[in-house]
Amino acid sequence: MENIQATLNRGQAVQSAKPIKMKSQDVTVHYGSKQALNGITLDIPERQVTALIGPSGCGKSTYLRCLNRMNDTIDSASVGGKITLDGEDIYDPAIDVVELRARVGMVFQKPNPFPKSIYENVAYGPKIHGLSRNKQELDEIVHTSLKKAGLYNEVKDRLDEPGTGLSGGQQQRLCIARAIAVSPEVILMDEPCSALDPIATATVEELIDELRENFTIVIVTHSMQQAARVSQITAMFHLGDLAEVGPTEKMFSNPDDKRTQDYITGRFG
Amino acid sequence: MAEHIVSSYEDELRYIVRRISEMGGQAERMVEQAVNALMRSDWGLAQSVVADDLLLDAAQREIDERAIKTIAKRQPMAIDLREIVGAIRISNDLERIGDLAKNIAKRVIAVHEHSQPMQLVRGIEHLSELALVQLKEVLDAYGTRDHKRALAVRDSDDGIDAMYTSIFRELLTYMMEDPRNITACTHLLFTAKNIERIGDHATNIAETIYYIKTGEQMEVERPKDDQTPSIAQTDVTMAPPGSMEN
Repeated sequence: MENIQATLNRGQAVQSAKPIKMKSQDVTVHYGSKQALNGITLDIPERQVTALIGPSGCGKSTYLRCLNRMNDTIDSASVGGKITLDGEDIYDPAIDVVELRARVGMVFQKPNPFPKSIYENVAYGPKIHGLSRNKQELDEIVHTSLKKAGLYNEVKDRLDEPGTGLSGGQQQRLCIARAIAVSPEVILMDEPCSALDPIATATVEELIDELRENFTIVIVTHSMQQAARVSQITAMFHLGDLAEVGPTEKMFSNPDDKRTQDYITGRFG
Repeated sequence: MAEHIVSSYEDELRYIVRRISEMGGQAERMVEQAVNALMRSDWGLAQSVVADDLLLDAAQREIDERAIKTIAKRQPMAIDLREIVGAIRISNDLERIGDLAKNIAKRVIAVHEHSQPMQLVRGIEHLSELALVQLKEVLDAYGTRDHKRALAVRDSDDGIDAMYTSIFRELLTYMMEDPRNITACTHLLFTAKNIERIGDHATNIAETIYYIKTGEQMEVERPKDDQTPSIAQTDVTMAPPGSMEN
């Protein structure tokens, strides 16, 4: 218990340098009778990249999905504890979940563009959220989002072509453009590069680094090198617990927790 | 600590660590033999030390190559990364120790072409004993990854520095007494300096072991006890006769 408390205190102290965007207190998740998360207390600092690492089944993706209530879509899942976004409880019944997911966007492991044109893929969110008053404003949003996602120059002459016709890396950047088109505050990424080749991965990593200026990013990754490269804070999950959280540099050079040490050095999987 | 899931990674790390230990043993033997050759004017032994240095150089290059390959292949993290970077650093220090032993061995003939007081040679022998204890301790600390022992090695380097300062003064006095001693004494002075440098490399290794084990650098550098840079000629000439002989 003392160890857990020490870990929590350390995590909170580490993150106090930047304002806290999202705060989780004692978050638990059950899938039916099976407990997947055992009380996670973790602060997500604003405009930083927080990497969630840990072996498969450790609860990192489950935790990520709690942050924009994606677990609501799974019938057997029940979430306990408290998660706040700018101090506001996101599990409050009064919260509009659709609006929440616009504020906390998500990019998935496999690029999943809509079977529509590149333009429509990006324009879809702003349209349903009523973010533009006319075509000109919508064009502006689409172009800006594609530029921020580093894709504009590659697709500007074929915005009417289907998004599914792009390469894997381009599709993933299209999904990122789609996520940022609705001006989210937080972007959740669930292994965004695991289906990409090294060049496309490098492009997306470069993009993540740029997006950090404007967005708070939480990324789940199985690549230790990726976590070390793109994040400022790393949280290590293990069997539903938060094993350790700290500055990325320290986590990958001299972690305190033996589970982190064993995991990042390839001593258990 | 648990073993790596990939057993060939485990084998690669073990191999590097074993080669470092072998290098350490060889460097230790070379220093011992070089000083023995000096004591006994054993030219044959001196030559074998010079030849052994090639093996140590080759070992260092091999460790370097293997370490770089392992970094490229495995992308080691945390303790593994420190082990590998540490191995590169330590093999470099051991290779330098080998060079210093070789340098001592090369002076064996030069020194014995001239007469020299046994008392001074004994001083060198004693200095080498101190350096060898340091080297042995630091290699044991590496074998057991005992960072506290490494810290103790770093802190006891003062003894070598103090002894070196004392030999420096003695040699200076001896040279002033009779200029015909200058050649032999200069060789002995270089020998003493080489041994003192061996102590410094042992200290470097101690610092690396501390880093491997703790992930942190040792605290600020200890105060140096080698005071020879501040010894002016006047210090020696003004010293009362016999005050530097002991």
